[in-house]
Amino acid sequence: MSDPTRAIRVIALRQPFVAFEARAWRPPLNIYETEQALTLVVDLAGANPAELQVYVNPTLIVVRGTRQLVAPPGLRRIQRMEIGAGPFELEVPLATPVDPERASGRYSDGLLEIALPYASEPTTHLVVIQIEGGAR
Amino acid sequence: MSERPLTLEELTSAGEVEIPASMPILALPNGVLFPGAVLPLAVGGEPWVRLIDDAALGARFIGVFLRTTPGEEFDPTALAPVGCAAQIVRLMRQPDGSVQVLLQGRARITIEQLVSTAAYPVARVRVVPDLPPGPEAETLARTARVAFEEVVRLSPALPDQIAVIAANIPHPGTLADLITANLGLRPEEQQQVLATADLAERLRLVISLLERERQLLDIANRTREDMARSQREYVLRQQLETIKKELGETDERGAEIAELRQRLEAAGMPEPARREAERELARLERMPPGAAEYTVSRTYLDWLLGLPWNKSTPDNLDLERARRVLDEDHFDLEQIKERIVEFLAVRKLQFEQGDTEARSPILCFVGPPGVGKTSLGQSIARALERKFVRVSLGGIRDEADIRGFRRTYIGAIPGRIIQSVNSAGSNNPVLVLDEIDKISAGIQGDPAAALLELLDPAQNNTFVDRYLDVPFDMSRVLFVCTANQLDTIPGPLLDRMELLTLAGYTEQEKLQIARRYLIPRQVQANGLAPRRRTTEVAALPAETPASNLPDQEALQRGHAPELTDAALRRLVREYTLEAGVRDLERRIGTLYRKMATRRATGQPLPEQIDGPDLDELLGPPRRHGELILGEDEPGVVTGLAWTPAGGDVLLVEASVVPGNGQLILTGQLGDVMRESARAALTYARSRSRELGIPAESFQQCDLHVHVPAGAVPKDGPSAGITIASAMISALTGRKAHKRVAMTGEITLRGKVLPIGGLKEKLLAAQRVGVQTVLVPRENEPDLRDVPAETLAALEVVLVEHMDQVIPRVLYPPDTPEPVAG
Repeated sequence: MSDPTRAIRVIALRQPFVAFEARAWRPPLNIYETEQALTLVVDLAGANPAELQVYVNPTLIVVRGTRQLVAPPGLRRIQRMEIGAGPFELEVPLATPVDPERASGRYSDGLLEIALPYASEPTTHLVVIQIEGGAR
Repeated sequence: MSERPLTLEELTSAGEVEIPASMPILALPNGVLFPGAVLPLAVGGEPWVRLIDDAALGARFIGVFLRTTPGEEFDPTALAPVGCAAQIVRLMRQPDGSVQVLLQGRARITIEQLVSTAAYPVARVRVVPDLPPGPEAETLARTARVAFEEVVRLSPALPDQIAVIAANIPHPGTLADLITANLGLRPEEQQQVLATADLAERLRLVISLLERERQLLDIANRTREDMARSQREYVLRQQLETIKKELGETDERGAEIAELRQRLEAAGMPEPARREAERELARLERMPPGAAEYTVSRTYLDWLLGLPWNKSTPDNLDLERARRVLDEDHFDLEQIKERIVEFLAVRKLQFEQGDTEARSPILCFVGPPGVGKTSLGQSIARALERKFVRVSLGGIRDEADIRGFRRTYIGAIPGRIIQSVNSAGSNNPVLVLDEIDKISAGIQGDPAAALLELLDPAQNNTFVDRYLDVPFDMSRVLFVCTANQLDTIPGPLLDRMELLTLAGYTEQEKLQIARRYLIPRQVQANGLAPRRRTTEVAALPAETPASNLPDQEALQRGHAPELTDAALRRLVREYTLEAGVRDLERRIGTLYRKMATRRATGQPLPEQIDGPDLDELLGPPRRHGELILGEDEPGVVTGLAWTPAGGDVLLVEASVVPGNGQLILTGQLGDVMRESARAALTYARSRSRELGIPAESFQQCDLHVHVPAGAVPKDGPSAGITIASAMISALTGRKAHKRVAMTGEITLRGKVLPIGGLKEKLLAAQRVGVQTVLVPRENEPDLRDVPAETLAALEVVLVEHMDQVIPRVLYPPDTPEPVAG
């Protein structure tokens, strides 16, 4: 048996601090701003849109779901693993209040798009929106 | 889903990952993983790569524990009791077969039981849940947050970003973990935090760690600031150096210091001086060259290192040669030459006995100007083959001139003594202290006091100059002082010196000196000596090839007109009146200058200059001996005086005028002389009957005594009998013989007391042509010092009482009419 003190070692981080992340993984996202609305685009290829949960608050969007990656049959070992998998949760705080009532969501080509028109008057409603479209 | 608004907390606490009940166990040698933290790990070698592979294929969970003792084999007892369940979130296989994984901590766990150790350890684990925080934990969390912000602010390693992240972590337990993971603590300390399940306790631990860290950073920061400052200075200095090099200015200072050090090594200084020099050199080295002190320090070192600490010249102890040198330079002065030869003889004996530390005597030559005191010093140096230096003390009023100025003063320099020894370049020169009688005490202290130490052979081996501030050995210096008079030299100083008196020269001696020394020198000085190099001289038909002959021989060949004895005698008698020969030399110089003018203008030169020629060349004589004395008359008596410039002859005048018995004294007479005059008057009154003075003349007449020259201050008692004689002559009307001179103090009873300076007085008497001199009998021993030539020229009469004086000086009382003013 080789020396475990040599075999296992902590790699010096390139980041200047030890990152903390309570969640398993976090899908990457873009946020677009237009005159009328904000648009969130989340990279969620491989997720089942039916299982996605989107909560819209005037200043916070929460997306939950699971991405199950199916390994090829007869898998011997993994060479590389970079794609986050399993349950995830995404929280996006918003600077401009949006109107939860008019929010809508759509999943297509592996991308989840959430349209968030700006709020015309203050509201504290939380709305769960339905995701339209594309089963995989 | 429900329409009920969820709170943020409810939202963010969702999404917990389930932890499997059993998982493979990995021992970390040097790291602790906290729940929530991300840890990159390189894993190589069996069975650990397999462990990772298997985990990645399965639930992707690994139990990570700190290994508390080093070792190779897996040893469950070596594991820390609390570890962390971690999930593999990234995996990358390396070409060498090892894998890099990114682990994410999920929860604290403890090992319940090892399930298998077949390939790698697998254990059943139990999650240690973070309890909901109580109010104490919340308060502590706030404290920890503030303390952490402070540490982040102080720490150069932690970015401000991490403080923002910490501020956004709501759970006190997670906060404690995040802080611990980011403080860069030792694994054991991190493990301690991991193992503490109780939230409040964990936070207290973290707060204490934060406090320690803050203090360390404080110290580190202060150190860094200091370092930065010196670093900056270093960089600037380097740049300056480079700039200097670019400008072609080399490192002069380094070379300078090296040179000084070399000189220090070579100087051969005694220990105290060496220590001082080394200290100063070290100081100089540390000093920036721009500092004001730099030059001061540099100059001081220059002085200190330049002194002849160990440089001396060997004495030439050949007595015969010394005698010859002295004879060459000076005529007669037997007593002094003998003393110098004696000194040499003693030195020679000491030298033969191996005594090199012998002290030199301190000689003091006293005499009128121009008798050769200073040049005798030069002669001594030449005879001994020592260096010659001269310090003129005339007019020095400041002690610091002798002993130097303290280095604290701007522009401080050593005293004259150290300066002259320095310029001599040897520590045993002949040092002539000229005009030691002309120093005077000013407000800056008495220079004579400084000389006391210098001139004491018992003390001057540790002469301390104020500027140098280290002792210098002066005992090997041969001190020669010169003075014109002794009364202005402080007693203690006088006491330290061996006095040798040079009284002045007789006419015969002056002739010899002129012939042997003055004439050759003046002939040379005025360009009349034959020298081949001088074209003007070379063009003369009289020029002979024998130009390398001594000047004197050349003279005899008639290159310059010869001065006859008659001419010289006239020069001495009629053109000069001095104890020394300075004026005589000037006169001779004048004669030869005129000859030189003639030669230069092509006029023929006479073969010789005879006595009568002087009238034409020098103008009418300044004086005749006869002229000074003049006709004999009542009331005028010739006296003899001593002055710093040698002896002198003066006439004392007395006149009787109608009045009421007052005594009038004029001619700048000092107190002693005035009292002497009163004593003389009282004597005359007391003897009026015997002397034939009408008694009433003391009531009805004033007696006026005047001593020319009226502008010259005079003092002393030695004119007593002269004044008395003048008074009696005036009162009785008997003429006085002017060619009878006298000196002597008078008492009320008419006794004649001895006086000083007899030799000078007799020389002066001879000079002016006095025939008879009346001298106190008690001065008889002094006559031995008087040159035979002088004694032969004068009739010296020893007297004890005024009764012996009066018949000698006054005409017989057959011309009784009194002189009236």
